[in-house]
Amino acid sequence: MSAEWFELGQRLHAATSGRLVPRLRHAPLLAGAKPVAVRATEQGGVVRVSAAAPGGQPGSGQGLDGLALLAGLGVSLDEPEPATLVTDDPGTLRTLLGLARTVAVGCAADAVAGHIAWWADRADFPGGGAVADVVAGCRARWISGQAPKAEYGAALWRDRLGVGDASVAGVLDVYAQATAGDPLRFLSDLATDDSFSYDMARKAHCDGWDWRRPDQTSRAACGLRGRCDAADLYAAALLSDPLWRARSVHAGSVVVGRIAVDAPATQRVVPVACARLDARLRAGAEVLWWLGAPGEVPDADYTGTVGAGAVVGGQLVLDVKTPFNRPTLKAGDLVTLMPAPPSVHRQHHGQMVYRKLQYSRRSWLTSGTAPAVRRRSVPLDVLLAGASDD
Amino acid sequence: MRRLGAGLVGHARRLLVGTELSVDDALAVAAGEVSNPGIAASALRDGWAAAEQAGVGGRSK
Amino acid sequence: MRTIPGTGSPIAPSGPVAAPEARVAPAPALCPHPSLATGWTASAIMDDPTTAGVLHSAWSGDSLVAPAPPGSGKTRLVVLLAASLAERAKLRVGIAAQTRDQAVELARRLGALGHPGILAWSTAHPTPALPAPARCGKGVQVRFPSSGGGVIVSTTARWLVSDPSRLACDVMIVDEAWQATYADLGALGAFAGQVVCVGDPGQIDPVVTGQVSRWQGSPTAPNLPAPDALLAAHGEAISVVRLRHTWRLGPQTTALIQPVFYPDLPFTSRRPDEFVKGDDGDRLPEIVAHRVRVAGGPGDPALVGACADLARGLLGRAMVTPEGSRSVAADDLAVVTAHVGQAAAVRALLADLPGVLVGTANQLQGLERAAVVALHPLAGYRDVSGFGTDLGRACVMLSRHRSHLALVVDSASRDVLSGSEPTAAAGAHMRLLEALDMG
Repeated sequence: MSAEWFELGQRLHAATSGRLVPRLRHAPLLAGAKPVAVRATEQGGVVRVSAAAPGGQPGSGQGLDGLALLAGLGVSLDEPEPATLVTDDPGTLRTLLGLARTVAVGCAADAVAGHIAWWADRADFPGGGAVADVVAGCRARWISGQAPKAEYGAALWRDRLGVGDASVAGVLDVYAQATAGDPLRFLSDLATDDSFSYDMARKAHCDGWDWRRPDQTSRAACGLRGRCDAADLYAAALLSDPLWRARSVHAGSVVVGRIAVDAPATQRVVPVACARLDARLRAGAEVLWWLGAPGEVPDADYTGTVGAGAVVGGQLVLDVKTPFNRPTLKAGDLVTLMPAPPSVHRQHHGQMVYRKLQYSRRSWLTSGTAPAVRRRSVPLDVLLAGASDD
Repeated sequence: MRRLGAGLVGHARRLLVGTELSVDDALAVAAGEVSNPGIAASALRDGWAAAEQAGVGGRSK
Repeated sequence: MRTIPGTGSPIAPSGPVAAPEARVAPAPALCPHPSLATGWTASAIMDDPTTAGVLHSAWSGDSLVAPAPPGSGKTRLVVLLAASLAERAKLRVGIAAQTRDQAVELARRLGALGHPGILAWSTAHPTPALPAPARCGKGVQVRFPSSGGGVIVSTTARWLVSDPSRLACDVMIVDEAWQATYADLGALGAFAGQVVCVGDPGQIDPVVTGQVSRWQGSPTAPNLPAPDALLAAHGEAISVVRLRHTWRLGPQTTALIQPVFYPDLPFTSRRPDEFVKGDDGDRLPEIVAHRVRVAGGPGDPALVGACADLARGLLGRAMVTPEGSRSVAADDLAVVTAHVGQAAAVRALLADLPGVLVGTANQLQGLERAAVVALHPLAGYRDVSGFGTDLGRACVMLSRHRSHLALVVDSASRDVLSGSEPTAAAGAHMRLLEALDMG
C-alpha cells in the first residue's frame, strides 16, 4: 500500500542528487539483434518516415519511399530474422500501421507492410523483443528527479543519459543505455515467443493470408491468452529483480517475515510471522521463498504453498507448506516470500490446449457463423408457464 | 524546497495529503534528518535508502 | 433479438448465504425422472413467469443471456434451470462457474435441491462436503450418465483443460457470465452448441492481465465480458431475459445504485422490509457513510480500524426482519474492502469474531449478509487510479447488504476526485459521494 511513498522517496533522492536512480538492477528490455529506430508522422495525409540502424546513416522518406527505406534496413517478412522496432514516439507505430494498410495485397511493399503489422501485433507483448518503446523502457529502469508526467517525454531521458543527438539516430543511443547490462530473467523466453510468432507471420504471408482482415474470434482469443501469459511472465521477471522486490514489499506482493518456530527439514508446514499485515499472498498461492532480505540475491530458493493465515498478537502468521529439500530453519530466521513465477512450459501447453478448444469445429462461437439452433419440443406446462405477452 | 522542480513539488503535495507532512518534511524524513514514526515516513525512508544502495545512473545535472 | 419480458408475481429468494432458507422440494431417494409436470426437484422454476420463460427458451434450444441485478436470484435460477433441463428434458448440462467457491455453492444448492449433480474437482484442493445426492468427482470419474440427463459443475478454468469429447454437453450455463471473457466463452463453445449466460452486468469486469490495444474499440474484443460481446456478435440469434427485481436490496440502496451502475437494466426492490435499529431504537438508514481522516494511504490503520469498529458496533443491535426481531450476530455481518491487504488487516482486527465474513469485492461477489461494512475503494488514494475508480468494484461493495451498509469513506476523496482528470468513472464516483451527502 505504501509503494507510492517508497517511489517518492526514490524520486526525492534523484532530485537532490541530480542523478537518475535505478528502479531495476537489470535491463527491462532485451537488446535486439537487429534494432531499427523509427519515427513516423502524418501531416495532411502524407506519412513521413525517418529511420536508422546501428552503424548507418539515418534516412527518411515519404509514403511508399518510407516503406522502401524500412525494407532497406531489413524490415520485411522476406527476411529470415525480424527487426526490432525502436522508437521514442508513441504515435509512430500507429502511423506506420496506417501506412501499411494502404499497401495492396501482394504488391512489392506487402512484405514490409506485413512486418509492420507483426510489430503492431507484438507491441502488446512486453520485453521489447519485437517493439521497444525506449521511453517506457527508461521509465521502467530509472526514476528521475521530476514528476512522473515529465518522464513520458523523450527529451528528459536524452538529457539525463547524455544523448545529444535528438534525431532518430539518437534513439538508438538511448536504446543502447536502456538495454545495457544483464536483462531481466525471462526476457529471453519472451523473445523466443516473439521469434516463433515472427516465423508464423512469415508462413502466413507466404500462404497469402491477409493481416488486414479483422481477427476471427478464435484467433483473437488465442492472442489474448498469449498476451496474458506474457504479462504474467513479465511481472515475474520484474519480481526477479532485487531492486523491484524492495518496492514490492510496500505493495504487499513480496512478504518479509521471520520463521516463527524452529523447523527441521522434515517438518512440512512452517509458520512465518510477517512484518506487515497487508500481505497479498493468499491461501493456495504458490510461492518462491528464501532465507534473507528481499534485496538479496539468494544462494538457494525454494518453492512452497501458502496455507492458512492467522493473526497472533496482532501479527499475521502464514503457514507455508515447504518441500523436503530445504535446510533446517531456526526461529527468527529472516525469510522473504514472493509469488512463484509461472512455468513457461506449462504456459505453452495451456496455450496449445486452449487453441484446440478455440478451433474446435463444434463451436459456433468461434467459427464466426450464426448459431444453428437445434429445436426441441417443449411440454405444454412449461410453454404456458413461461408464455410472454408479445 | 531544495532543488525540487514545481512539477515534483505538486506531485509530492498530492501524495502527501492527509499525512501531515509537507514536501520539505518529506525530504527531511526521507533523508533521515528527522525521525517520524508514520507509515508514509517509513516508506519515504525506505525509498531513499533503496536509491542510495542502488547507486545512481545517468549524468549529473 | 428475441426478448422475454420479466413479469409476474414475486418469488421468495433462496435466502442469504449466512442463513440459507432455500425453498426446495423434498429430496428424493433416487435420481427422479418424473413424467408429471410438478414432480421434479426443480419445479419451483415454474412459479414465476420470468424463470419459467428462461426454462422454455433454453429447453426449446435458444442460446440466451439473462442479465440480473444483485439479489435477483441468479444462482437460484442457474440451479433450477440446470436441474430442470437435466431431469425433464433429459439434457446434459454443464455449469461453468468463475471461482471455486461459486462452483461449490452451485453444487451445494443442487444437492440441497435433491439433484445428483457432480462437482468436477481438483486433487490439489481439499474436497468440499456436499449434501447428497450431489457429489465431488475427480479426473475421469467425472462424466455424464450414459443415458438421460445430468449436471456437471466446474470452474471455467477447469472446463478449459477438460476433454470436450468426454464431457460434451447439450447446454453450457455460464454463471456470473459478466466475469467471464468472450475468449473463454468461445472455448466453452467446444463443449456445447448452446449457451446460457446468467450474471450481473454491473459488477467487476473479467480480470485480464495482458494488453489489449489490438482490439480497442471492437465490440467483440476477446477481453470483454462474454454476454456483451456475444450479443454484439450474434445479437439477432440470442434471446435476452432480464430479471427485474431484487430481493436483497432495499428501496434506498436500489435508488442509489440502479441509475449509476444499471442504466440499461431498470429494476425495483421487492425486498420485504427489514432494518437494523440504532441506539435510539429508530431504524438505521439502509446506507450510512462514515467519514474518516486518512493519513497513511489505503493501508492506513484508521481505515481498517474504522471498519472493524463499525462491525463490532453493529453486533448485538436489534434487527427486524419478516421473521421477527433478533440481534445481529457475527454471521449476519460482512466487511468488504478493495484490497487483499486491507481485508487481511480487518480480518486480523476481528480475529475474535470468525463468523464475520471479511474479503475483497472480488472475493465477495455473489455473496450477501444482512449488515455490511464497506471500505470505499478510493479511501486513502491521492492519485485516482483505474483500480480505485472501477465502477464494478464499487457496485459489488454497495450491493452485498440487505438491511444496512456502513460505508467508510475518506474525507478527502471528493477533493481528490475533483482534482483528477475528468472521466466517466470519476464522475460517477463523485455523483455517488454527493448522493451519500458527503458535503
